[in-house]
Amino acid sequence: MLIRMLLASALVSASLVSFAAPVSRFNYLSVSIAPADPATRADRDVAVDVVFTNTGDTPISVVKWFMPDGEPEGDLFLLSRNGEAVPYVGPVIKRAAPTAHDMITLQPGESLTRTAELSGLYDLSQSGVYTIQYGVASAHVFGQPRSGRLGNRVSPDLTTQFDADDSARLTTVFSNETSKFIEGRKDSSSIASVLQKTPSALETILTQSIAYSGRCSASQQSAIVSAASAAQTMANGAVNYLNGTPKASARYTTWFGTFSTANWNEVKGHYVNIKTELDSKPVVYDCSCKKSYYAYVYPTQPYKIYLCNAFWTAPLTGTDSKGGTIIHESSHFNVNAGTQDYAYGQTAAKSLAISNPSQARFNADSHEYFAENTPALQ
Amino acid sequence: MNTLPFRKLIIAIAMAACFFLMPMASVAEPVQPEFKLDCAMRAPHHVRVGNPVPLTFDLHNRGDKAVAVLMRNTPFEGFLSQYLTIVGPRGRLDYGGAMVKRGPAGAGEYLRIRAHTKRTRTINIGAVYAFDTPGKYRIQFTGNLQDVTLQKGPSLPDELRPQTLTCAEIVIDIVPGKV
Ligand SMILES: [Zn+2]
Repeated sequence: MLIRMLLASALVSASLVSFAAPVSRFNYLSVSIAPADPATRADRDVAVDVVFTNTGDTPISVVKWFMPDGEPEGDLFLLSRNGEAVPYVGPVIKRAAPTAHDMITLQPGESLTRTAELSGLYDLSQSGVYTIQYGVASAHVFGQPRSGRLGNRVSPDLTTQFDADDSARLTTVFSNETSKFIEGRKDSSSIASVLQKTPSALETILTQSIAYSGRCSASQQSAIVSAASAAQTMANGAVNYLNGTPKASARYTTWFGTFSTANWNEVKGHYVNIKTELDSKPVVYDCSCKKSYYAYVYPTQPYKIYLCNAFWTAPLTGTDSKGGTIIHESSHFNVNAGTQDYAYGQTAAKSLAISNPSQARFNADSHEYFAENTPALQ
Repeated sequence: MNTLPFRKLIIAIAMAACFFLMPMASVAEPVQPEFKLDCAMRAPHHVRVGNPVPLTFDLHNRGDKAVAVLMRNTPFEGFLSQYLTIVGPRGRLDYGGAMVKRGPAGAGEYLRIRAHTKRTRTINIGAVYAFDTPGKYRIQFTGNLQDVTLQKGPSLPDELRPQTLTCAEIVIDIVPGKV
């Protein structure tokens, strides 16, 4: 019901301007859905096949992120189990306005089949028969046929945001419903969640536990091992430094501003937690992100770190490096430091240390740059 | 096409419309005097537990020149950073969205605001915060503008001009839902 409510909310916003109704000339997109295989064991991915067909007599352009392509595309499905809505737990994806480049054109009569993976995106922790339906509501499901050009308004994100201005053009598209037995599974950060629930004895025997999700290639896995090791070295360096006598050193004040012993110890506590994570907690590195970002995390979900395109091309150490990115992301976890992104980049982080030290002590990039220590400060 | 979801939608609209209410506007002083930007948050006064919690964010350019604003750390980028602080009956709410580390800003990350106009974005904060207990929730904007410029293109990383943005806090009353 949650998702339907979200759709409803989009429509309510819409109604402030004018009441939205499906645009009839776009009703020629037919969507059907079927399980890729009939039942799914807990150790198998859950996939559905979605068939998009243009049943009209003119070409239709569909914004491509409403068609699953193997990468998380946001909340495109309505799932329920025993009549109860199943929550979407995948990433919330932010879109720029779609351009011609983002459109897929279906000729009259043409069909396109896409396989969507639902594991990791919806809460499939309970075993049972799940009802699955494709369903989207947005002002920008469709582009202008033929011209492939859209208006210059900002596209509303399907799940979370919508411009009131855009809503007059809101369109909804639904498929049939299909059912599938799914065996309940732990979520993709299962190693972390299992270990969090087991006695600490098990944790203490672990050293630098690394797991992968989201189809990390062999070369990505080896890059992750090196990066995690570089991050470990940086965290050790930071803790060793902060274990020294507290003082208004250049290294401390450049990144964290006004010195006091209390401030110093607060920052030290953050690095001790990050070091503990990298030394002995089960960290899951996910490679499914194909965005231009470096990386992202959900602060409430330690210790899973999603690595994106800029990460793979970053240097191993030094400013904005792979190792530093892991420090940055680890600092966001609420169990470590719960940092924010008040200021990005070295220049802004240095300014923040001067203008607002209490924010600097909770700024992720400040933690990264202190740990990278490039160029080195004493 | 399956018509059932549409019926459910219509019912949901009717219910939701009952408590979708009107603005509580406020104005803040800009920090850099050449950029006269202020913001306001609006939300329904009452929302039922389990329903979406729409928060509307207005960014108003009261200056005489068009400006471009980096959308990071504001509702205009969705949920890629934590720019709200929400305190409910059980204390501060955890932010359930993502925190994204990005490289230099791209042109597409700027929001252009013409002179004496505002840009508005509505987000469903119920998607990333758990408003699961009835009671009053105080919502503060704790983000900032990481770059404000008169140019069209993105600023270089060393040339970002951050600006504090202060919005008046708002309060939403979460009321018990139907069973
Ligand atoms: Zn960050």
